[in-house]
Formats: sequence, structure tokens, C-alpha cells
Amino acid sequence: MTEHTVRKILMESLPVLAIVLVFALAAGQFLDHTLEGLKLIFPLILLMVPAFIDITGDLAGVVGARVTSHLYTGELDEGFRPYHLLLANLIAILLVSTTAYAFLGVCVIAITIWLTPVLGPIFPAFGFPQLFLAILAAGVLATVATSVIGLFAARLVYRSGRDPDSIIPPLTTTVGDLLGIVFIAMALLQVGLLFGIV
Amino acid sequence: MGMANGRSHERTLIWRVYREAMPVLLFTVLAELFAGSLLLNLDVNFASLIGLFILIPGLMQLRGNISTSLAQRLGSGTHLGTISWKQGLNKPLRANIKAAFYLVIIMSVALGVGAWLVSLFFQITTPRSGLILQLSHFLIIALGTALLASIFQVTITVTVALLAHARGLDPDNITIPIVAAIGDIITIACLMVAIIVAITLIPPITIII
Repeated sequence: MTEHTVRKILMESLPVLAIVLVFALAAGQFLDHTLEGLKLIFPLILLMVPAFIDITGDLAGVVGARVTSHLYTGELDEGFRPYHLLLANLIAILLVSTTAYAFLGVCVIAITIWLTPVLGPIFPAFGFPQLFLAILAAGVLATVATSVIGLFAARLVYRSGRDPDSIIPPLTTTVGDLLGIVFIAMALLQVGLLFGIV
Repeated sequence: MGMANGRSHERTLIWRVYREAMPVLLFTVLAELFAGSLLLNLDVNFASLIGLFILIPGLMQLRGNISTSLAQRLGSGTHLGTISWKQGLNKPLRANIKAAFYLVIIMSVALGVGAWLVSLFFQITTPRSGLILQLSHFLIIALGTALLASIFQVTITVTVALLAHARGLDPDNITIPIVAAIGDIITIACLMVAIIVAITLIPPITIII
């Protein structure tokens, strides 16, 4: 475990990265396919894509890492009991993600207003409150969904006795990318439908 | 009594996680918004390239996974005393750098081929007008972006991790947030360079449906 050789690092990393690749291509294809439609609803959609998917994966990674530690120290059993400890971790992530996506929403709206005189009409085809709510709802939901996947990944890794550091972060970030893109696209399309844009 | 203690313990846990995660996350949001503005720019200049965006999550993942785990291994190495600023480019450090580059090469070639296959499939099932990217384009763009970005990333990761350790700081707490926040900015900037190289070397064919 302590000795670093090229072969050992490659052997540990490649299987997980192969799974990551499949999820990344799925996320990429979804982005590529929905981008034109999404740009009609909100022209600056690409501005928030990196931040949006990064927060989701990061926070699910935190849940995965914390739950793995709890499993190893015996504070949680394999059925995730006691539930109130699990719940405390999930509430913490819920609060962090709500704050982070609210901050992202405010920044995106501020940049949109700031860029409008330069780029011409780039306001979302609906109002800012709807844009803010779409970012917040999609972000928090994607984070919770990815975190639940992180939970089960933590249990699986714990049972198999592998090193959680080399499996959980890549898995949660890549699932977070996919779910982040899918949730924000669905939220914007839903708002677009409500306002008769698409 | 026990219940009350349990509750206050959980409240402490919730606020501790919140306080520890929030500052880094807010800084990350700002850095990622800058990366997003580069992505907007990329779209304005290269919107006619069909399937280009299939590569984007994969390329951003690549830097994340490879330089984050490099940062983690360097952190462990400095804790164990096998790697340090004073020992310079010794055998364990060279093995880590070499492995990071091998991974980048293998994964970016796989990503390029995968993205080409996906774009080919969707161009057959749901054709679009625009500039068709060949396998060679996908390979040059994926490999070029990944290699160029990794040269910057690996240099920054190694320097930050070893300097943090030399200054008596814990590399585990410092390297990953710094590397993660600037990673996407470097990747998208390198992606623009790689696209220009690819379409200059091999002009893509225009398809009108």
C-alpha cells in the first residue's frame, strides 16, 4: 500500500477510470444533445455547467467519505443504523448544497445582468425567480440523489475491503456530473414548457 | 439525558461539516464560473463542430481523477517521508509523475475513441448540419487537451503539495481544493488550443442536411 510503483498505480486506477469514462460519455452526449434546446430557454446555460456539476459530485463525495469513516469506526452498522447519525450527515449536506446552489443562482443572475449590455438580449426567456428556483431545486435534488448513490457505494466498498479513497471520489464525481446535467436540463425544460418556449 | 446529549452531538456534527465545507465550496463556485465563461466563449467560436461537447465532461473528469489522486498519493508520500521538497525528483516521486502521465494518455485516447463512436452513432440516427469531426479530430483534441493540461496540472500539484509540506502545512488539506478549483479553467483553456490545432491540421468536412 505504501510503495508507489508505476504498475501498481495503473492497476489500481484503470478499472475505476473505465467506469468513469462510460458515465462521462453519457453525460457528454446528454449535454451535446440538449444544448441547442437549453440555449433557447437560457442562453448562458454553459456558464453554470462546470460549477453546477462540480458542487454535486464534491458534496456526494463528502457524504461517501464520511459514511465510510463511520462504517470503519463502527459508529454506523451495515444497515446504516443508528439512522439519526446517517440523517445528521444528510441534513448537513442538504444545508451545504442549498447554500452553495443559492450562491450559484445569485452569481449567475448577477453575471447575466452584467453581460446583457455587452452581449445583447441574453435574459432567460422567463423571469429570474424561476431561473433561481430551477438552479436551486435541480442542484439540491441532484446532490441528494448522488449522495444516496454515494451511501450505497460506501457500503459496497466497506464490504469488499478495498481502499475507499480510490473508488468513492471518482464514482461520486462522475455520477454527479451525469445527474447534475440531467437535473438542470430537466428543470430548465420544465420551466420552458410552463412558459411555452419549447 | 442520553437523548439530549445525542441531539446536541448531532447538531454539532451538522454545523462542523457546514463550516468546514462552505468556504472552499464558495471559492470553487467562483472559479468554476470563470471556467463556465470560457466554455461560453468556446461555444460561440466552435458551435458548428458536431459532437464537441461529448468530450467536455470526460475531459474535466480526467483532470479531476488523475490530479486529485496524484495529490492524495503525494500527501501520503510526504506523511511517510518517502517524498519531500529536499529529496527532489527521487524514485517514488518519478513513479507518481510517470503513472499520472500514462493514465492521462490511456484515458484520453479511450475518451477520444468513445466520443467519436457516440457522435457517429447519433449522427446516423439523428443527423445534424454542421462540421463533421473525424476520429483523428477527436483523438487530437482529447489527447492534446489532456496532455497539455496535465503538464500544467502535474507541475502545479507537485509544487503545491511539496511546498505545503516543506512549510509545515498538511498537503491533504491544501492541494486538492487548489488543484480542483483551477483544474477546469486550465482544461478549457487547453481545449481551445487543441481544437484550433486539430481543425487547422485536418479541416473538417461540412455536412448540410
